[in-house]
Amino acid sequence: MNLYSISFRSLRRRKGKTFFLIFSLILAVSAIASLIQVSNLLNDNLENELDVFGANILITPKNNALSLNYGGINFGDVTYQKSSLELSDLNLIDSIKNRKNLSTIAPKFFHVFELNNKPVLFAGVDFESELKLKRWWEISGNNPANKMETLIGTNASKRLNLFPGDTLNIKDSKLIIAGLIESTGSQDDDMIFADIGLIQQLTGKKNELSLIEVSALCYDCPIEEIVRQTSEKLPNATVSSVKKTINSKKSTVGKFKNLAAGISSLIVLISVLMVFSNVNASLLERTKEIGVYKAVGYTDSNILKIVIAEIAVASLFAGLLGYLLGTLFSSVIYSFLTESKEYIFVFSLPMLFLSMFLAVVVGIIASLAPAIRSSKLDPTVAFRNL
Amino acid sequence: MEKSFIQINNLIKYFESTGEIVYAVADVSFTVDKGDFVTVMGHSGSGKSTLLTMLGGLSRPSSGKIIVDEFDIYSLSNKQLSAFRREYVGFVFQSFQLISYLTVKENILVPLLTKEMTDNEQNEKAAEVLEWVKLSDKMNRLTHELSGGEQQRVAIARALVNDPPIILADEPTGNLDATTGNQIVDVLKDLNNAGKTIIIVTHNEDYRFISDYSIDLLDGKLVSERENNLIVINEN
Repeated sequence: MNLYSISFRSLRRRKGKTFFLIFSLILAVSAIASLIQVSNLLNDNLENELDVFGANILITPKNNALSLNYGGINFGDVTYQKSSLELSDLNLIDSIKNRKNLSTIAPKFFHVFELNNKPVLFAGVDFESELKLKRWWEISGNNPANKMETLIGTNASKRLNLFPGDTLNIKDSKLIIAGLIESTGSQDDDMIFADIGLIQQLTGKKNELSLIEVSALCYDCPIEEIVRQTSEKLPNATVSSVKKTINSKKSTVGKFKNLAAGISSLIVLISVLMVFSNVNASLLERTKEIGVYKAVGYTDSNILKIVIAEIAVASLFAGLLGYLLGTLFSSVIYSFLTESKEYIFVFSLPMLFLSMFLAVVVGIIASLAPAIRSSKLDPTVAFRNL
Repeated sequence: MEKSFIQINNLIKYFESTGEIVYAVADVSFTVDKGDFVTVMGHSGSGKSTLLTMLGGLSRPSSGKIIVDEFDIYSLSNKQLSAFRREYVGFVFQSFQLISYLTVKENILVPLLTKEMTDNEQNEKAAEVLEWVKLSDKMNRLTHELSGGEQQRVAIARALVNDPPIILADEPTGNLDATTGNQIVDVLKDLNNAGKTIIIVTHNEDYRFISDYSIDLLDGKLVSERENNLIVINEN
């Protein structure tokens, strides 16, 4: 038996007091753990959803256009120097420093062909990356399985009276409409999407690209940085970011994080007060016991060790339980916030250690003052109670 | 001439209460030899418990000296004073003051926990004192499961476990019936016969005549000393 045995016996046999001490700390740790975990889950969720939002970087050829106005009359723009994008630019994009943040690179080549004497805009795309980028597309029929298969937008389908299964002839090439893209409310509705290699071949512009759409996972890095790196690699292109959606989501999550931090601080404060009040009352109740320790020759530091060890052990236990409860709560809160029916339990060892550390820090800070006061208790005062 | 084991010289303890100075112990001097059984008598508020706390190194006097084994104990630092209490004094209190969440044996071991001892050494010491107070069979019980007399015997065992030369007892029979009280006094007498110096505070006149020496306090002043039933009235 040693000094710390007294701490353990006290925790084990004064169950009511131990329960209230641990309860105050569990309240704080579980609340904070759940808020942090919900924030993290929302961040992860946002990163995963970035793909669904579509491209957030648009790369177009650099144009030097001159606006012609004379006597208040606009004569339109005159392009006097035009650069173009090429297939090799895709490799350059994939070589930027933050390439790990690039989720999808979707090149496009546009050309207008005539079908049934009607001009139709054809978008040459790489279907694998295009379908990954545009997850909101709902396709009736099938996805294109080879370079001769195409997708047609709703408006184009109606205008040309072409439907999945129909064929269309472009410059002696017979293309098949594999599927119909349900209305998206965008320019996609007016186009026919075909294999980019085929369109380039039919137009005789084998390396040329009209634009490149890039989906970058930019939550943990500034999109401006990716734009800057890409611009450096492609000096003849205009690289612009589409930040609005991401910023709006980021702002929401940021606000939630701030709210979580605010609530956490408040909970820590309340918890410190609860633990302080609990330990204070408990030690006042134990004045006689402390008097006995003084009488048998314990020093101030001996008594402080007993009290602090007791708090530290209770706090560690509270940290563990608080973390487990917090994880449970965070799963329920996350499921509620994201309107998801599945509950995600994420066990994180660093988070567990952080919870236990937090509990011990809160426990010790809150009980330090009453513990020191008790250890320095004037034996006469203690003895008066004996 | 050999000096007394405990010398109390011109001991004064006063408190300030609402601007007034109240003397709890007023200029008390006496000596105690090693192996003496001393009773300190007096009514409530006479200053006998305050005197006992000063003798035990728990409360610094306002002035005067207490010399134990040639140490002026109040010239010591707080840490040294703790060591003095640990090595020289065993306290027995009126309300036993056992720690409720510890067993009989654990209560007895409390004074040993600041010493470097193995579990075996601790167990041997505990067994020895439990044997002395005849509670070996109840060492694993929580103290509230014991009778008042048994609890006081546990308190005596705790006071003894460090083998201190001085036992200070503050009304050790105050919470006990007469028969149990007498049993406790018998234990204290046995300890005295074994060489311990016993100083007992009581207002029970029956115990005056079992002691070698007794002093009477009234309003903090020593009014009489009796040695072997010979009364010496303090002229002051």
